[in-house]
Amino acid sequence: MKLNAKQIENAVIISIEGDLDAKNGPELAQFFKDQMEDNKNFIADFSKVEFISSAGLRVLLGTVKEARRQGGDLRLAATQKNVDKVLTISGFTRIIKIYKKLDEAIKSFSE
Amino acid sequence: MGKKGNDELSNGTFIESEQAVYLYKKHFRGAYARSGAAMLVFFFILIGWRLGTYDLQAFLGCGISALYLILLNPPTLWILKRIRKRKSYAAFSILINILEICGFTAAVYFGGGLRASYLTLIYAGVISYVGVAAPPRTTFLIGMFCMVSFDLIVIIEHLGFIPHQNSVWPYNFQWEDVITICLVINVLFGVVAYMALSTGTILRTHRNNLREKNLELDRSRQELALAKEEVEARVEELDVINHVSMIVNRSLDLKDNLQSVCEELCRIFPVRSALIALSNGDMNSLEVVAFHAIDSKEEKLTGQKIPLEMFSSSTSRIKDQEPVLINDAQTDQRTARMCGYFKLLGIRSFLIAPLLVRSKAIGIIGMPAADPDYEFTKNEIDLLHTLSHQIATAVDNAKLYAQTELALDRAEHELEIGRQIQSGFLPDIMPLTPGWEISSYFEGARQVAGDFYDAFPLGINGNIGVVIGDVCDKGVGAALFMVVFTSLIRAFSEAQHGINDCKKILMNIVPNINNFIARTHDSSNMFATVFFGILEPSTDTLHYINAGHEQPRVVNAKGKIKAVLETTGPAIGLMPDLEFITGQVIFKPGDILVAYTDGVVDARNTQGEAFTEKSLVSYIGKPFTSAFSLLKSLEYQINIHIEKAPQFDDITIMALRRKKSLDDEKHEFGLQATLKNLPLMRRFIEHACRHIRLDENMTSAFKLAADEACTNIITHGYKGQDPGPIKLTFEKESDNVKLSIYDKGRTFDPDDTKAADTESDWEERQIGGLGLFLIREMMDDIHYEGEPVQGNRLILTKKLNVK
Repeated sequence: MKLNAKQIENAVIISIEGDLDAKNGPELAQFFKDQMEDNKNFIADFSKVEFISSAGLRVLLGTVKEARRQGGDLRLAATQKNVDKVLTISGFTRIIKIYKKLDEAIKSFSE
Repeated sequence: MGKKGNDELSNGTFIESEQAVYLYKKHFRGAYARSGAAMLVFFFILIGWRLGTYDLQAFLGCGISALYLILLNPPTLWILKRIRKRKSYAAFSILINILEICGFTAAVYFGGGLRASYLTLIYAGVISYVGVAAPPRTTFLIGMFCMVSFDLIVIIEHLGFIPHQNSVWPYNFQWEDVITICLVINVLFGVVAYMALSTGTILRTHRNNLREKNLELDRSRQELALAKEEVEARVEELDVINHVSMIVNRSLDLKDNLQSVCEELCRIFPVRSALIALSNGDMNSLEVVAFHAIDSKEEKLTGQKIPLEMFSSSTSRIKDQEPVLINDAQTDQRTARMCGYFKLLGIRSFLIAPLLVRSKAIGIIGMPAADPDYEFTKNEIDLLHTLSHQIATAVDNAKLYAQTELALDRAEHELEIGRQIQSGFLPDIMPLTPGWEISSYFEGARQVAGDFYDAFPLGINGNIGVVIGDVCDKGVGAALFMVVFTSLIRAFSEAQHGINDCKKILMNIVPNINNFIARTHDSSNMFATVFFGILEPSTDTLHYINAGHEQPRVVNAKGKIKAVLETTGPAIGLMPDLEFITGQVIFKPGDILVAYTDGVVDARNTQGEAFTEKSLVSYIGKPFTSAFSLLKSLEYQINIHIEKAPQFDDITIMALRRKKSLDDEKHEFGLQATLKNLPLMRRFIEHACRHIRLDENMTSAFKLAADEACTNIITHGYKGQDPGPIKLTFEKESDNVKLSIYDKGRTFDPDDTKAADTESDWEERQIGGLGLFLIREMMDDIHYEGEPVQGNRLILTKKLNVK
């Protein structure tokens, strides 16, 4: 899994490349945790994520909770079909804001 | 007149100002001493007069002489101060002495007699000791003159030629007395005068020596201090150069480095800011790539274009390759186009150094001094000159690196396209034939190589052509020929329509391709080892020509190697008209043919050890439920062997299996239950789904369900113990697909776990049970058999969408 953080005006874009499974989950959680020290608003760019399991969902839930406690948020962008399906089934679409395009997610933070 | 004794006056015509001050001070001290002595004489005689030992006349005479001695000082000093000629100075000095002696002689005369001798003695001693500007020898002579005068006066007095001045004094010495007294006094005087002279000379010599030494030491000290300063400056300079050099070579990110360099320049030089601007080719316009100002509020110039006249090709300074110092940037012609900016910021003193690479300017360093009137020192200019070389080299290196990277990226990109095109020639899905299973595994090398494989219907009786081959050599050439070979094989095969005899078909295809390649591409010297088989399902026979290829193996249902398919001819394309013969092998139910390229047996690990044919044979020599299972198992073993070593050759394996029954469709994959292997488990599911032609929805459902189930086994089932095995079995039945997951960890009952929370708001949302929830959502049926001894079995079933 490749992770990359890019600071923009109101948030940090976390680009994720790879599968979000139990193997990669802890790494992503730690990455978010490190970023959380200086930031509270996050956009997770899911354009290169083909697979997500409950372990990945757990990381997203933990991160969104922590970000919101700090007055920020975690929003997802550019989720693929298979990932979308899992997010919908697990009811995550009701608690996490998901945008079709990265631009929309970036825009959402400047409103 | 002694030359040695008076070193203060020995050089040159004029007295140097320092010397004059020194001489004057000396005279001044002498004047003090002589005045003191005269006062002493005066008081002595005053007391003598009051006590009656001197009469009034003697007192007045001595008093006037003493006064004369005192009053002589101011005008002589006044004159001495103004004499600059050495000769005049010395003459005047002697004149003063003579005048003083005259005065003193008068005092002696008036004081009279022996008592005056004491005064003379004291005075002469003082004169000799304190000294005047005259040479010591002169002083001595004067002293002697005093002494002789005294002797004469005493004798003349005694003879009665001159009246005895001091009538009060009982003056009735005999001649013997006079001579004795004169002798004693003279000797005493001589000794004192000589001592005064010699000590004076010795002291003077010593003092002069010491002064000389002091001066010398002082000079050395100054020289040392200068040298030290120089060394320190050099050290500091070297330090700076080292530091800057370190910064510029720290990474290849140019802008970052140059930014750090600007910060460093601001630290080293007394400047208000530093900028580095680079040109894009012409030196008329430069773009500021790095800028740092001491005052963080100062407007950043980064990204701005600056016109600098001095760097147009016509100016000569750039050819000198030296830094340019502009004293007033607001009025200087060379910075005329920037003068508005300089005026705004009050910049005047400005130092610019060109960045030169191979004598060609690629940019500049610019530094306005913090103090507008500051004059950059030569050292600073030199230092910047040195630094500019370092920086220029770093910029050049970074550019070259970027160009190389770009070229490499392009080459890599081209290769990637090549690989993609190449793999496009290789079939993704193997043709289906009832009762038979064909599977393939291909892993392209980092660079393009020449492996190929193919499987296609051939003829009218449901025969299937099976090809695996390897073009000699690697690289683009091999890849091109691989395309030629696959195309030729397909084209010649198409032409065999209507022929039933598989041997005849083989003999029509292989020798013809051989001749075609050998004749048409003679000069390329390209050839390929090819295993070309034709499966005849009606007779369960595989007819083949093995043209110099790695020997395929046939493994039976029990896992025994029942046949090794030896070569039946040379590699294709070596030369025309080579002889090929055909071979054949009959398949029993469960028999699997395994054909591979040398990339498999040559696959190296990080230690350079090959996978070897021996291990290949041992890994395939086991019972497998399907050709696909065999390939997956082999792929797993090869990848364990390779680890992270780069792959230099294509790895290609093909497997052909005669099913035990028509619906014998069971694929297995076993591996260790670790999180590291989780992606491999998903990969197996994905490939198995593709192998049995499941749609994307089914595939993703099985992938997720299998991942969740395997994660549970890995993280809970084997928790607190060494990871045990996991086995995935994928079965396709008439109306459903069944995935069984076996493990030997702790049993758990899926029905016991609480329902997942997918409803509550984010603050209350619990994560537990989500994995099982997802499995249930994805699958149509879940069945769990917990078996502490035999192992656990989780069966996930999904119905096939029957149209």
